[in-house]
Amino acid sequence: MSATKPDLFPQAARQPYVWAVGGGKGGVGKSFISANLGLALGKQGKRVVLVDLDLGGANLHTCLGMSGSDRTLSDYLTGKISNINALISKTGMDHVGLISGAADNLQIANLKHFQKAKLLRNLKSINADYVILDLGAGTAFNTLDFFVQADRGLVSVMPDPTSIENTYRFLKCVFMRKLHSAPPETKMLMNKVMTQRQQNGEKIRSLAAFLSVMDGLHPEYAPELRDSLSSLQLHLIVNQVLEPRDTELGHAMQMTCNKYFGSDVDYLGYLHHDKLVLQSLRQRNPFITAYPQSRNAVHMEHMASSLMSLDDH
Amino acid sequence: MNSADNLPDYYTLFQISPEASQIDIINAYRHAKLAYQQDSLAIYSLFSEQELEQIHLQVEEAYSVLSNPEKRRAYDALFLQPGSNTNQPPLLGENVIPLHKQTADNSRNAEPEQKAGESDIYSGEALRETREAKNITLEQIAEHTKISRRYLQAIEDEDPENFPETVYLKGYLRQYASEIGLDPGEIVQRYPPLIGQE
Repeated sequence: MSATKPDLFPQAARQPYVWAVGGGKGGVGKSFISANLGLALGKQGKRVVLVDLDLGGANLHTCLGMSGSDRTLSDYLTGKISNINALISKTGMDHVGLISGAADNLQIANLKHFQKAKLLRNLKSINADYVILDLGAGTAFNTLDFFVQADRGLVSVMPDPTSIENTYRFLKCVFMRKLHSAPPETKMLMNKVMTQRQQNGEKIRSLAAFLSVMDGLHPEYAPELRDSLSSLQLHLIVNQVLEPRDTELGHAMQMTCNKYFGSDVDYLGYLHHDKLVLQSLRQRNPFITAYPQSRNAVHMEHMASSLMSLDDH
Repeated sequence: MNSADNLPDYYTLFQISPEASQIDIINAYRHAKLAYQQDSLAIYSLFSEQELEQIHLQVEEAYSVLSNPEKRRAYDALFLQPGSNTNQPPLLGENVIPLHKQTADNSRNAEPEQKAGESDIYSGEALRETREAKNITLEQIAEHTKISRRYLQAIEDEDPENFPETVYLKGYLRQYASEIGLDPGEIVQRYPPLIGQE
């Protein structure tokens, strides 16, 4: 956000790309990744607005080395401020702004439907090149809907079974939520197929199996479902890698996701387990500003660039 | 209509393209073994033991086929033909009837087909003759397969330069052949520009 350019006609400018950072589990680095990805984009001259959507557990500002903001999402959601662009506060880093999470309002963690709709509708009118959504943990519809409707979804996973279990759970919910947007007629068919027992007496267990059953039973509906699923641009980030073999996890998950969900999930890259992350948080200094030469900073910048090149094409 | 519909998709299983080299296949096999091994993190909570066993069998089977050039060719011929369940670009759905079955006027003029049948090549010229004998125009095929007429013409002209890559030529040739009632797998092996390609 530059101060010289007022937000008079945000919709006149090109709409921003919206990236959502999610993952089933808490503590896997969603806020850390959001913040530093945003800063990496800002470093390359892109105008970025980070949005803390971890309502009820907002701490994106802390990852950015800030101590909170006088205007938060709750002002917008309760109608106190009507222009979403007026919520953006400066982060101390050029081009990067923050819409802070609503830490002050105890009600806001449970977003009402109309509030969610209002926010979803207006994300694209944020005056920026990139809008990065830092989502909360879990698979509540409020979280999923932001993730599903973003242009890209990034999923952070750590190389441990709890995180992986939650990641698959999260992806499953994402895909199902996406299918939910199908026309009513298609949805009825889907429900029938999903609850029906197969010839071998078993229920369908994976999304891939569901799709291939649909192929066989309703070939006229299957392609639209596949198209709808493949329109999700999903990217995995393996975070807090300790051993070299952990970096392989991304490839392996890419393979198993395809097998299980019948849909592609891209492996974007990995980040190392690094004590400097904790240190930068304690110093209230955003990580890639504090340690620009560290390998994680380099990896973050690399990931930002490769995602950008996908959007530019 | 064809057996390819029940054929497992080895390429998707290994996350490689149908043009993958032998080295790609070996690497993919190694990755698949690691990804699906009993204590692999990547499969945690996804598959039951029984399903995993089945996947192991599939992985072995996929490797035994794809790593053997002869078996792979046979598999490709079935699997990559139009109407199969791959995600190859232009697909003929099962409900689409090839043109040669649609044209009522299947006038008895099997000569060109037989003529070509004697030698072991099937030239673009012979393809054209077969097509004309069945009263099918290039426009009809283009309309039906959604393959540009330019490519269909290039197939008959035996002009592989027109195709960005051989795989496209092969894929389009297969569809073209099945449209005029020829065996796609056989034509691909007898079409001069493709002979000696593998």
